[in-house]
Amino acid sequence: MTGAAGAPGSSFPGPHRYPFRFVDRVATDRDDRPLVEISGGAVLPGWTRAGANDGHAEGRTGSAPGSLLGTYPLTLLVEIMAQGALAALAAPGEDDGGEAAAAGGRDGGNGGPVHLAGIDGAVLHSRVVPGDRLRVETRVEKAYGRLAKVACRLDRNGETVAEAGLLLAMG
Amino acid sequence: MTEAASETELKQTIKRLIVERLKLEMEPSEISDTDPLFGEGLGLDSIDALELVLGLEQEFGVKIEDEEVGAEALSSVDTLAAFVREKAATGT
Repeated sequence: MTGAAGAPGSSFPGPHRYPFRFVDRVATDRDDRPLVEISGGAVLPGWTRAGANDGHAEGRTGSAPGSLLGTYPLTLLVEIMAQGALAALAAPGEDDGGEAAAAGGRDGGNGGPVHLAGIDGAVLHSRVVPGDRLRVETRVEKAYGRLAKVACRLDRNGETVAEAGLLLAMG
Repeated sequence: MTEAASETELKQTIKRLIVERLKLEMEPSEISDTDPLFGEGLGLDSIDALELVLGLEQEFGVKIEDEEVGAEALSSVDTLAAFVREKAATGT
């Protein structure tokens, strides 16, 4: 993943386009602010849909029990979470403990490129198939210098289907 | 506990934190109090710095707000211990 932090508003800040843009929508509250829950850091949900026609699960057809055929690969699920994390860093907010701002993604954002620099503890809990509607929850654990550590969770109707700790590098 | 013993214990805790948090293949006792943690010393990098800053926050409840503060505080085990002591004394 690569993208730009610092874009204001609730729109997705990355340069990604179909078929490699996975975040359809960044949720907002009634005042059109990004929906951010506070739990030791910023938690910003974004929505995405595993597209039936985007070809990412192509060649992986089949539905045998226990088989990974027909499912989204974990690598792409990590990319979905990374794009959600990018949205979290770019979203304006006030009560996130200052972590996203410290990452340069909020008030101090400079629109510079953001790169996925590390993946820690990526776990696939459940199969994701085309058509699934997923929600990305991200929590900026810590930002220091040009790096930010973001905990990500991929949710399908309240079920955690995948999670990972991502390291994002700004600039 | 004497102040000296408390100081030694604090440094041991910091060394253990460094080794465990950064998954270093060495014993905490092998880390010198005065050697630089970054560069030619222990050879830590910016990713280690982020992990260490997060670990200090979780272990001691002290925050390193920016790189300027961090550059001084993260110089060595000695400077880290002084930073933790100062933060604990001022309650910040």
